[in-house]
Amino acid sequence: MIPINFTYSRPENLTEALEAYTIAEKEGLKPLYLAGGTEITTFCRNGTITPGALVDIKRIPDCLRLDEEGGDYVFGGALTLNEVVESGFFPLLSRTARIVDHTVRNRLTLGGNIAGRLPYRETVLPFLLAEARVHLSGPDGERVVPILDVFSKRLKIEPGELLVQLLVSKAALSGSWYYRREVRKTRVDYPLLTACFLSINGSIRMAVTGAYGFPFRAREAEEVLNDSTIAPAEKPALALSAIPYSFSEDMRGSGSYRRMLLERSIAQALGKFKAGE
Amino acid sequence: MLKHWGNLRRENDGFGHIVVLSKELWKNVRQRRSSLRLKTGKRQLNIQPAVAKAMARQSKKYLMIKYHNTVSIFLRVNGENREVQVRPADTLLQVLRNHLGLTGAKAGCENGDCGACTVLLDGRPVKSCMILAVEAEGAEITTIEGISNTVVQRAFLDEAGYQCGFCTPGFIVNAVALLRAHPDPDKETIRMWLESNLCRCTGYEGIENAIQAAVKALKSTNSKE
Repeated sequence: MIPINFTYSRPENLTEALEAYTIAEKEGLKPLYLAGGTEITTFCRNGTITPGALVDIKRIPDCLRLDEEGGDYVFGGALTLNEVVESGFFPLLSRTARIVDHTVRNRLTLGGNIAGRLPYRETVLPFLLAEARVHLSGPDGERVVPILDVFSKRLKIEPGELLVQLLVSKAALSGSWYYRREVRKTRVDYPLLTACFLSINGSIRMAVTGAYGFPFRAREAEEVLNDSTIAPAEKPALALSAIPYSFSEDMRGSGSYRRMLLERSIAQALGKFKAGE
Repeated sequence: MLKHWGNLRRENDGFGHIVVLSKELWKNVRQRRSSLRLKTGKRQLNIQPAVAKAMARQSKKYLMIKYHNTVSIFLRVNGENREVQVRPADTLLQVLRNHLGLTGAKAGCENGDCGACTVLLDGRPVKSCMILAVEAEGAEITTIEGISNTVVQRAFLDEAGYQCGFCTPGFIVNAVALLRAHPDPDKETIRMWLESNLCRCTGYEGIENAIQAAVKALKSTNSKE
């Protein structure tokens, strides 16, 4: 049972959504956009959040797009993860989006996962690697910006802004990729770490979550991985030394265990890319 | 209560709904009410949201429904339209069990983990403890009560795919959806779908046998056809 009351609006386009959000905010209702609701219902139930209004964006066509436009693939923010998995447009994303269990993936949405409060937000990793653009809609209008400009450990957008779509250039998907997800027990569990790698024109990109408590593009590690003067065997350890964050320590695993797993993942990725050359 | 909302207008319909329509459409609503000879105040309209929605669709005009406090909504459950009074914060599971008497979906963890509350929403399995009832408006909801005489149920009985039975409705609903989507699933697909449900009695072997038996029975039926 959810022990609080809130108003619920169901807009059918972006203008209505923004109006509903703005009015609720003016009324002091602390509104939230509602997509799949898997996090919101849980957090409302345990009292972590107490929104006074929810604006349901699931019936807004712009948020449900899954198609191609020009040289881009368009992923709506309200697509469920199963819809993303089944689309197959972006193979690394289809693989990464296989989180939680199949039934929850029928509700959990792409935008909800990326904008959520849980520390993992695994589906953002492929977009960070592909240097996708995000289409945002807010009180100051609409804008399309590189995801790397608005995602630093978490999505940093203006109050009232809605993540409408993610746009991925087809050219960014031409390279090979490697994905590794380590869990303590079952694959439905939260990850000890999830690491994604994308090789584009011989240049390796790397993004990680779980290991450090937030998702990020590991640019410092990439410099090491792409440095031809460093011996391949030394790269994994050196790449991790270059990352300026501390490993997470929790009941799922120690920091040193996570370090070992990530070092192994990097070595496997390098092996795969080398074999593909 | 009447408020202006940009060039639109929102009004309480008397059932706790805030219905947002263009001024022109409100005029149509009033005329419709008048013809039905129902009481309408100057600024309050007792119009069912379903009627307003249908009118909006007909005239292809703007419509946004906003619910607050307790509201009356229609849910389509197991092929029937059911009217229920709900709070916007009520989960679908609560409404199915406490308002509609459909107690087949179980309140297990109420956290989206165990799958005991699984129902079908437009044919796809979902955990009803994580969905607001108001979100399910307009969708086809199927609970275990709406599933009868299926190969899957027979197989669960024949293979003793249950122990205490608490998780069984969730497993059966999910398995029915699985076999509709994949009539001949491989082991990996079965595992991927059914890892959404937990059995605290750990009776997984019987459940797996039941699914395999259902697959065989379906294959046999299909080959005869």
